[in-house]
Amino acid sequence: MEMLAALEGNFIPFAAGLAGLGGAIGVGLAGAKGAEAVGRNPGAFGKIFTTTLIAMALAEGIAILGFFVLPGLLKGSM
Amino acid sequence: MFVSRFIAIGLLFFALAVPALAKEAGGGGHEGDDHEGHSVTPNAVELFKIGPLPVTNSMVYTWIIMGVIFLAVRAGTKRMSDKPSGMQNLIEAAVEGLEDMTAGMLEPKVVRWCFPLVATFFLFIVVSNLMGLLPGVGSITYNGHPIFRPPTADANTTIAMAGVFFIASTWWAVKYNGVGGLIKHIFGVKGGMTGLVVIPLFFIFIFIGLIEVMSILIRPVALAMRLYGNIYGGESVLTLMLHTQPFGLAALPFYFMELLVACVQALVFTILCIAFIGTLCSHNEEEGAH
Repeated sequence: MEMLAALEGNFIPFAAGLAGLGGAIGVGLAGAKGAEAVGRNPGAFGKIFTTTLIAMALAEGIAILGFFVLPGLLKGSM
Repeated sequence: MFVSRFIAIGLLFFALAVPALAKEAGGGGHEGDDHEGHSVTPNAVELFKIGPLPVTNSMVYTWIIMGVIFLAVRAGTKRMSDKPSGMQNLIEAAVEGLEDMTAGMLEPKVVRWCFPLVATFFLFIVVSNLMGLLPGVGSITYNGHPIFRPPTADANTTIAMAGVFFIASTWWAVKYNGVGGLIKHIFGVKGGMTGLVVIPLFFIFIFIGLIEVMSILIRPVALAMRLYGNIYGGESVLTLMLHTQPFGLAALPFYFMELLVACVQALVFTILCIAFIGTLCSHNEEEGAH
């Protein structure tokens, strides 16, 4: 209850953590599946690497955008 | 190809100056004044002025990096031999590797157009990222401001590069498809359907096309912010770790990570550019037919 009270009206740092978490899960999933795919078919390393890297970058992009948007919101709320 | 590569580098250099002028016109950029000793400012700090043009620390370092690239290429191409060794070998390996990667993802015609720009992006970004990790960058100060700052840790540079990419990719898409073909490529009904089914699908694909346009427009923003965020974030972490720990020992693992990030982010920028060009300049309908 006290924690909720402390958080009241200022969920923005929490949201920053969530943005980072989402990006981390996305990058982790892409990396895990990429490693699995290379294990199954080592010959296709080049194509798998490119695809994995694109997926990682797109997942990471959301977290990075959050990193730029959230400080602005934080400044506005205080 | 050599000439067009020069044009690409020139375009890049030209684009660097434009945002600096825009920043000056905006009258902003005074956040740098109240920075504490142990943090990197989000914006590049203005060092001095040449006429109306403010010169920031990242611009100074950009010139040094351009000089390094220029000298390296000169040294590699001075005495060229059939059996490459040393610098020539390195440059040939880099250019051929990039060409193989580009050719693996695009059609030969499009590769010929976009390879110089994409390869320039990669080489410039990777050299500036790695040179940003050298000792002295950020720690040599003048009037309390660091005189060197890796250009990729300055949003002006990354936005300029993404802008160049956006204009160039739009131009190539129009050149490849034609204006009507591009509109058909984005809004057209895909999947090879014929008959009355096309009429309701037409409206759905108009809606999908609008989403597609939005995603095309957000690409350069995400591209620029991803590179800037990663390098600036890495720089901040390194500065923090160097100043808050005894002997800065905690920075050691992060230096290894930053070495990795420096190469991976240059590759990501390049691969995403190629992939985005590939989505605009391809005949995916014909491939789906058979």
